[in-house]
Amino acid sequence: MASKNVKFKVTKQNVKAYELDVGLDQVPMGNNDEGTLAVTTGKEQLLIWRFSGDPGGKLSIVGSVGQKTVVEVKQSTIPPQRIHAAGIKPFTVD
Amino acid sequence: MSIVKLLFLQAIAVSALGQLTEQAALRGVDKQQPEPAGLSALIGHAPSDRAINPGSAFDITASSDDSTATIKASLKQFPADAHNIVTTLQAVASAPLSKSDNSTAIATAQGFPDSFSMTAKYVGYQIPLKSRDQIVNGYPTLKTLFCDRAVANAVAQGKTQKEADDLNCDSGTIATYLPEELDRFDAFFWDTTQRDLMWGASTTLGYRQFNYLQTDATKTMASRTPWGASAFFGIIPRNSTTLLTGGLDYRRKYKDSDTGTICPATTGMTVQCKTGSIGAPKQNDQKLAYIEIRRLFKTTAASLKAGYDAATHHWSTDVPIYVITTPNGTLGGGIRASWEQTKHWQFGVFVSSFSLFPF
Repeated sequence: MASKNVKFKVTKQNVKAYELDVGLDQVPMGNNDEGTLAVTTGKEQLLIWRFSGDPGGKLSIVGSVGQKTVVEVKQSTIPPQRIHAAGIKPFTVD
Repeated sequence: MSIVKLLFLQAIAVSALGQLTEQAALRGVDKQQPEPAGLSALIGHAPSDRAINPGSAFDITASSDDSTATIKASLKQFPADAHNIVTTLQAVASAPLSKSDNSTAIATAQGFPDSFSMTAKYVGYQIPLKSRDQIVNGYPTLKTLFCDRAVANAVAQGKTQKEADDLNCDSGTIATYLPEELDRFDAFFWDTTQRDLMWGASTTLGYRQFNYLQTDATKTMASRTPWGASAFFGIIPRNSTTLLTGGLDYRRKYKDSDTGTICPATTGMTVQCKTGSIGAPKQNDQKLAYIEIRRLFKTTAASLKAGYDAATHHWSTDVPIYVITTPNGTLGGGIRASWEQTKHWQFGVFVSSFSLFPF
């Protein structure tokens, strides 16, 4: 099956650790909070994010192929009285 | 209100810290006063200043007893490895912004605030992640049970359909629009039967120059290399906002000898006396063991840290209580009580951000 490299960029605040997955695959994030993963085209994928930190910690994600954004998570936040947050979002790469 | 309150507290803190500095200066006059070695090394100004505290970026710490500029460079390993462990390696360089005779009287637990120092740190953090296949397989259920209901509730609470559809399907949205289901939602992503574990170690090497008077009143300069090593282990029990930490800390520090005035033997009519530290710098070893409990409450936080210095056989404890909320919603300062065997209780205010994590 055809695939395209999706570049993920994470922006975070008061986050101690995080993990990004696309389906069953981990996105290998570098120290600059960027990582690239080959994603199968034409099929719905699940972006999963999980992170730890103090309550109020924030994390945003942009996944793009070239200049085109294919998935975006706007400011996911750790709820009050919690140290973990997670979310999931389906997306497709054309 | 918060900004004004914070500024007010800052003003009080500066005033109080000034008084403390004055008291420290007065202490320096009393040559027989023992140095507070036990307390000084154990107690930081707030949890975020304590022990192993990597953080990131450029950080300036200022207080009554020390003012250090710190540059930190971190290398984090993301994502977690097969055992769900995230590791951080960090190099820290720090230097004092001001160095006075009193700055060695009280140190923080962060290293050597009166010396130029280099620190290497390692931190491991095991996160209780659930396996990816469980999440992927559970997605249809998760969407129906939580995401769709949260969207419906958002519309019911006044959001437009588009605004509701644009919400993330995440913990934050569930906490806002379906709070009673937050535990079940999180259970899809996290192993809620497990706790968060963290551990770390650091070594620090410093450099400091001392000027002192010899007994014949001649000025001399000497350099010393303080060094230290520390290790900690911490746990946040499952479903809690409490951190339990234990640690060990060894430090070899140096401080100025007591100050005084020396007048050389005169051979003529005039005598030129000199004032300064008399004698070579003194070595001060610290062997510290401590335990700490940090707890985040709904709108406040507290941290109890108790320690024992095996070198001086002194116990000490410190309890900062965070009551001031900054405009961005984080806890930014409060009141503080400290006790040490040789000096008993002290009270004050502080301005520092709170973090439940010791790294």
